Amino acid sequence: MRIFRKKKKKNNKTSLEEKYGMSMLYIIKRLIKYVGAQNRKYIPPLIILILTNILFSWFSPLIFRYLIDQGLGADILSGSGGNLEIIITAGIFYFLVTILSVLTRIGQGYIVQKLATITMYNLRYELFVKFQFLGLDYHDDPEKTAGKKISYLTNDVNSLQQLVQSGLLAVVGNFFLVFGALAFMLFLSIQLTLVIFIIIPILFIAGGFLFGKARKYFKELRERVSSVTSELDESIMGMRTIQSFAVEEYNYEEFNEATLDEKETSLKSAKLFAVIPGFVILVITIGLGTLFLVAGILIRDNIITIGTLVAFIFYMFQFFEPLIALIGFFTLLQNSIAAGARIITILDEDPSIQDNPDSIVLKSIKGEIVFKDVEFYYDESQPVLEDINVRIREQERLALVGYTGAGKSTFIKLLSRFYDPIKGDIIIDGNNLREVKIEALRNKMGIVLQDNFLFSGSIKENINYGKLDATDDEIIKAAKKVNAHQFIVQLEDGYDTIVGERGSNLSEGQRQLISFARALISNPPILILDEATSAIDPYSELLVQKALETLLRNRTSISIAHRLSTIINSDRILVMDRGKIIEEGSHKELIEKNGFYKHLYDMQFKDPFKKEEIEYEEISIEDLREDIYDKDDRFSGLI
Amino acid sequence: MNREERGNFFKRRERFIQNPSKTSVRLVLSYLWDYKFRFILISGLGILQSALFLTIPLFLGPSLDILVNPANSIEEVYPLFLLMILIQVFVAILAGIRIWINRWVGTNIIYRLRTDLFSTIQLMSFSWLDSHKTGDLLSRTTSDVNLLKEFLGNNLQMFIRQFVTFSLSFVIMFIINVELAFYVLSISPALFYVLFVFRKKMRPAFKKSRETYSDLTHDIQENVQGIKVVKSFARENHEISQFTDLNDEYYKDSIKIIKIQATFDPLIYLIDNAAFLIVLLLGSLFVYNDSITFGALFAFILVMNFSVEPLYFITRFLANMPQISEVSERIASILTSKIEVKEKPHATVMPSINGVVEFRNVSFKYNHENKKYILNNINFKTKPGETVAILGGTGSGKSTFVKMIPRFYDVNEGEILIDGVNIQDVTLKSLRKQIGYVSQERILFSRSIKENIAFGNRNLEEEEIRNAANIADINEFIENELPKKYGTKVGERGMTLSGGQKQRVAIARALAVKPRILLLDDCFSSVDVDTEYEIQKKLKDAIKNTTTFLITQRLSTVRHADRILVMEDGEIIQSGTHQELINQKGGVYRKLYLTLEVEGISK
Repeated sequence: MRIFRKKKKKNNKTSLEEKYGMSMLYIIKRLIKYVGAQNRKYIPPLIILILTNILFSWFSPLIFRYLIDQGLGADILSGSGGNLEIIITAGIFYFLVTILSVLTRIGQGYIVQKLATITMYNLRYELFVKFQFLGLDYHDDPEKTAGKKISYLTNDVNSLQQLVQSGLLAVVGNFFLVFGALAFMLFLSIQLTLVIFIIIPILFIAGGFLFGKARKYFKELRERVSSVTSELDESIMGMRTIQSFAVEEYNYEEFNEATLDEKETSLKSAKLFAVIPGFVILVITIGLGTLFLVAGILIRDNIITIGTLVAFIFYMFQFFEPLIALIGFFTLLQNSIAAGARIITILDEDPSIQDNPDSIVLKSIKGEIVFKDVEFYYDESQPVLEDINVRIREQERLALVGYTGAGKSTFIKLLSRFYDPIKGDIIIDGNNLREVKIEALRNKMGIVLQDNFLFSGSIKENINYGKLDATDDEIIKAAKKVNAHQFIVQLEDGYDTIVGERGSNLSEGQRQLISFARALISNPPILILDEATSAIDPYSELLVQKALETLLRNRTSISIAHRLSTIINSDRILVMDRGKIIEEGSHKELIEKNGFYKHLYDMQFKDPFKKEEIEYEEISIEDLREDIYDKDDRFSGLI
Repeated sequence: MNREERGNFFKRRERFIQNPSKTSVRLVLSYLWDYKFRFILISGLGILQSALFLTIPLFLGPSLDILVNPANSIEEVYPLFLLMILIQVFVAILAGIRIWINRWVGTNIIYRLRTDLFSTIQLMSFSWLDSHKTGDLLSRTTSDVNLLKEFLGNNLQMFIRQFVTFSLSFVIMFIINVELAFYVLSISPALFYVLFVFRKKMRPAFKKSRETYSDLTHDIQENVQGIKVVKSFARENHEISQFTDLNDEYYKDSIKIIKIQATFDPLIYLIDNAAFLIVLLLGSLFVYNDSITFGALFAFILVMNFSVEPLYFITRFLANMPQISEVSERIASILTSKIEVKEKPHATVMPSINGVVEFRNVSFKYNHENKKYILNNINFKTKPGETVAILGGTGSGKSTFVKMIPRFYDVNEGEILIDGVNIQDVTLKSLRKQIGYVSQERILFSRSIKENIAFGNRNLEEEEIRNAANIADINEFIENELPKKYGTKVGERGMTLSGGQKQRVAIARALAVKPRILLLDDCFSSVDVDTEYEIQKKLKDAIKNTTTFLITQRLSTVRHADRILVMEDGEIIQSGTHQELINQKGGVYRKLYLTLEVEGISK
């Protein structure tokens, strides 16, 4: 026993601790706390039920002994000396014990499964809530993909449910059962117990040896399986790429190599698995044989009775069964402990931004924003924002311009308080952001993001996500204002049209307009556009721009845009570079200044190949407008 | 070996598609059927093993009778014990052989099944891939296959064996004592009744809980994917309450199942014990009446005990059957999928492409049931080495247009010719090898940057790889910023490429095959303006003789093209050079250009 225990501990520690920084024992402790703390009221009845059931288990073999020795009589071979009454009494006793045992088993099974279900329910709830309140710093991490998070909430929680269930059944009662059975065995016959204890060490030494070997194979097999899975994952995700390069054969070979590896490992371990059951059969046979031989001699010499032998055998079963269950539990533990580690890691995560207990609730705001000496970094050696001082006036239209990594997105994230500045303050209408309740703050802000995520409900549901109690009239009004109404009513089910997964049955431009309507309906005093138009083709852009005009009216707005054409009408443009504001002014002023902005602007409109301007007929702005909007219903919504 | 396996795959596929009436479970079982002799051998060995194992009580009972009677000498039992042990040694060897063959068969079936699934997915065309979600395919090829592995490689075999053990134990009971065995048998209807009732009760409960679970999963998926929207509207509490409703419902469903389940096992236990009690009481009476020996009664009880475990296994096995047929269905639906873009039986090899791409009356729609065509009667012809830019709104068909050229989809009407050859007459490989396609998706594989660039052609020289990277303007980044330069593995811990960097690697990957036709499908969307400018400039020289189709969102990079196509609703509505189009009064291109650029500038 010691041999395989030692090995086990060593191996677990390395792989678990390396990956999650916690030992198996710690994870188990945490999980026990989890199961126990929230279900205290179930624990006493469960323990009572389990103990009662164990008492019954201990009792029944004694009934058999009574029946055989007293009922059938000491001299059962001749058939004489029996006592019918005792046989029947014993039968009734056994029947009663069985019925009671069935009842306790029902209760026990119910409570255990219920506990496991409650644990699953709670874990899933807490994880879900945790995800809601973890900041964007967490959700932006490219390592933490949506797929992984979904798998934590589904697969991992499910496997912990299994673990709790099997653990409660295997560990709680079995401990008593094993030692009780052992005590009874010793009580009934020391000699027979000794026979058993000669067999046990053989079982453990050989079992430990085989188990140790099996572990090695298991580990190897797990690695192989996971490499097959990742090979599959990649291939399926990249199947279009694979086909477009016509490298299917090569790809098949690579996949085949991984599966062949798995197959070989599996076959290698098959030999081992083939030996184990045979070994078990032999141990059982030799064990039973020896036991009977010794018992026969003991009975013959009148040292024990036949009843004692029968009872002993039942206790022996009671002794081994829990051990087998424990082995099953440990296998399960091996497989699902990592799920526990992952879940605990997330539950221990602290949201980077939390409300102060004495934070105030912003009732209504006008939209004046001040950044005062704001400084921010994720990593001290790389400042992301430095020395930012900006005053954004009520209803001002502000735009942020600069290369990727200039700090524009961070600027916005600080404003919507997904992060707090490291130094300096952000003040809205005279209130420091740090002293304001987050939910109330974000309710006053509309944020339109780059990827226009729509939920897979109806269009109506998507729009009223911005204002949960919006009436149909309000929804239609909002849609009209952003020019979405026309296309929505043309859809088969109008506003009740179901948007496919990730909004796939709508065009990019349409999705954009719906997300505008969603932002508009919440009528936020402050609106933030985070590269909202960058995924749009120039064709849809015309449509969207007009909607944008409506959206930005009568509120403070801050937009980030790669596409400069969308921000030309801003009141003020901040040009950012490496975390600093380097230029500031209206489009016209900045062009005249002939600085960095002018460079960006030229880049976007300059033809990379021909130095000379292309000739086209001179045209006045008025003619142009006419040319564009006249007689073309495609643009009629824009006028 | 490899090639042979591939050949067998195509044979099997042929078989599946020609017999579509086969049920899914039968299709999956046909994988087992390929190893039928081994399977029969295993079953035979299993039955033999069970039968021999069940003889243990037959030895123990009589020996007990001999032993306890002081009139007999102890030596009399030795041969019995010896024989018993010898038989069990034989059983152990049998078991070993059986299990080994069994595992071998299981492993091979799964290997075949998985590679067949993989090969099928590889064969499927884009439209099939479009209609199957990645996650779904992955779960079918991993967890579903694993379930089948358990089933085919273990449980099915085990079921046969346990069933035989169960039946044989009854036979042995009858051998030991007919009357007792008869009483035990009389209880079994109760057992089957309980089984039947439970299955009937469980099914709707399971179905309901599965449905709720799938709703719950869906809610979770939506929430996790849209977490930024949730946060930006401060809708956390709304989401939590929505989630809680489903979580509650799932909890209730689970408890309902538990209530049924919690009584099931104890009831079986009750029946089992009732049988035991009957045997014990009646047996005792028989011993009392001297109609059987105590040893025989003892053996009888031992045999009865051996039949309990198989019983539990059989019930569990039967309870799992619906799941197996569900899984089989999912797997069979992949294996029997039809290929939409098919090579002709005698397709020829596409000769080296000169670069004349011609669309003749091409119409196309993704789904035959759709009324609307995505491409509508397109006629178009390039000159070799021409650069064609395509402009159009989402849904105008521009992306579909370029995807038709490597035959990712087949036309519904008309034909596409390259250098005068219909692309449906040549092998896909020879066609696609000469075409470079860069999509909007930024799919890189988790291998080194070098291997990613050399993805289409593994025999590239370092120099050529670097050259391609250089044109895509990513060489400098790789050399200066990545820890292992070209050897850096994509997706390795702490190594995350930005969207733009990924796109640039993808461009380099397409350039590395030195394509004769290059399709750039909106692949600059995440690249900075400056960089796109650089890349376009370098491209111009590098691919002088390559016919290029370019879809981009930036008008500034469109105008250098030799020709600009403007698409709308699946039709080409304008075609010409920038100069020509800019002067087409009332034309869409002119409108776009003037509004977005000139209006901006003149403000």
